[in-house]
Amino acid sequence: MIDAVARLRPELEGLVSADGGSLSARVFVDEQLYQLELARVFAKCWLFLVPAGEIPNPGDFFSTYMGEDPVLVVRQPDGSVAAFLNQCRHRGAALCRSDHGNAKLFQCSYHGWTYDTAGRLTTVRGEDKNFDAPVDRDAWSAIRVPRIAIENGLVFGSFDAGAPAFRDSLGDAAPYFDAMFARSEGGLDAIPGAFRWRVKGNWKLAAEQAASDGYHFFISHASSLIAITPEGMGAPPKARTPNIQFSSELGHGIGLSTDMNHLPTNDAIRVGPHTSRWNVEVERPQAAERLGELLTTQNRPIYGLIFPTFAYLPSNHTIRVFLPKGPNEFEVIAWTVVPHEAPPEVREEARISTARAFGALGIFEQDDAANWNDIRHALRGYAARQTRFNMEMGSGPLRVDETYPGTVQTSESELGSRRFYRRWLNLLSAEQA
Amino acid sequence: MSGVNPELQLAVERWLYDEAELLDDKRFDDWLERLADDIAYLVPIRSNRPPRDRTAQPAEQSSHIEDDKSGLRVRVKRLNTGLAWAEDPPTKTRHLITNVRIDPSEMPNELQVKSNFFIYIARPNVEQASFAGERHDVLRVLENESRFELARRTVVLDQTILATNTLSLFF
Repeated sequence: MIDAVARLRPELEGLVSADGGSLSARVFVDEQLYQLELARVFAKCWLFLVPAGEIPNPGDFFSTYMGEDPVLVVRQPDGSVAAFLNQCRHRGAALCRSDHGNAKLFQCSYHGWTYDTAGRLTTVRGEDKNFDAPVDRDAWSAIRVPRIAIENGLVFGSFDAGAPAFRDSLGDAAPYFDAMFARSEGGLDAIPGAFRWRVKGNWKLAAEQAASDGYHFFISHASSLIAITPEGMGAPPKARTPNIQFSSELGHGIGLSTDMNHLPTNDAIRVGPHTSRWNVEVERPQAAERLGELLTTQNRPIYGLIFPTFAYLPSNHTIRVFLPKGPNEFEVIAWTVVPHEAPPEVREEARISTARAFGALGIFEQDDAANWNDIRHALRGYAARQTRFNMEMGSGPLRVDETYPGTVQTSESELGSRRFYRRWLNLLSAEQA
Repeated sequence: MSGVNPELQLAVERWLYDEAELLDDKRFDDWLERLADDIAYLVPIRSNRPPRDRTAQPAEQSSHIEDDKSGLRVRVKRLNTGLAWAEDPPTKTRHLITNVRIDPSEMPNELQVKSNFFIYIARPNVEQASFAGERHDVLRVLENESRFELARRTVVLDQTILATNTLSLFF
């Protein structure tokens, strides 16, 4: 792998121009780059695994992926969470084929080795008769994900034992992370039932969009916006919502609505009247008390990406993680989330409206998937792969606004996209593996 | 097997086939006309769980679709805007409806109708998808036994991870 990087390095640098203003089409299709991503992005970064509430009791497990590595995330008897490769150490067959459930142990269906809920090898079939010595449990247990962090009810993991603490990995995005996930004492509840679907396209398109793309919204989703706006409310609330975007050189990006006067109408259209009222009367004031007013009652996060693949659409009540399946396909696992304190009618509005808009069969999701699919289709062509894509929007001098932590631009800037791809490139071309 | 008379069986099957034709011909406004005003249209999320898993199903669960009539109208309204890019050009769909099983309901004017479906979907550039599953319908009998309205539909999809989501179809 290191040789491959050395060989690729001259090419790597050109993939994203130094100022970030242009991008090689290869970043979306190249198999070699994809293999590098698995090693240097997905085996390095903190990745979202599961809402902690999905695995409340000892033995509860959720099966997911870190990059393309299958992992089991399991609640331990002491309340902590462990994650390990869903791979037997004898010949590598799966320890569990279910998406979720409860288990006392995991038995490989190939030769019957069993592991406890922390992935520790417990029994080896025929060990006392057919092995000269007992199999070394320390050496031959399932491969543990060395780093686990539970932050505001969200479970993250990293394969990099030397990774910075999760909070530190947020860098200057920490206040914005809190403005999304630490708004109340109880945090967010995930409504049981994970949406899972596949998209034919490269995962970075979805990630970049969540970090930085307020630009696509009124074109891609024109039909959906018109459809959800009740008759008599006129045109969809388009240019009336001036928005800003925070971006971090670490690749995180968060979009905020600055038009708080219009937000109640927007919430009512997107989610429902109870939610709109509850947000004004309870949710935002409660968040302001904890976090101050700037990112709660004066502005509100509306979309965001925690690099590389964890996205949140706060005003649409959905979190999701993008799981790469080769350069040309990814899987989305999404949950509907509501503040723990929300009353039943708000939970119900969130559950129904999120499925309609942003579930696997949500009307907004269809619009995005069709675009990503088309990008992949064209990039099967040789000439198409030699092209570069323009990322120059808003590349003038940085407008520094001291009001906000970190760098904040209008949402008519692609600074967040430029930073996302530069960060990705930095990880790919780092000196040591 | 209850004693469903052959005429009723034929009438229900014909109703389902006509409905499939409306959907494949994309006459969605006409399709909405066939739905009861109090329709509940549900596509639950399914997942793979261990065979002996005893974890209780939670009372509150997300569904792929959980729409009443106004929700279904939103989906149709989107398709009627002419701006739904995922449907430009329109997806070709073919609903195959089979294994129609009718049972009386507790309500005297309602029938419980199960059917199997296979839906083939073709998009530009030889892109194809298909869905198989079962529909659990409640048909409400109007006036005489040849006219019905759909009062409830629960769609049991056989896919747990949906292989495609560029879908503007109804099951």
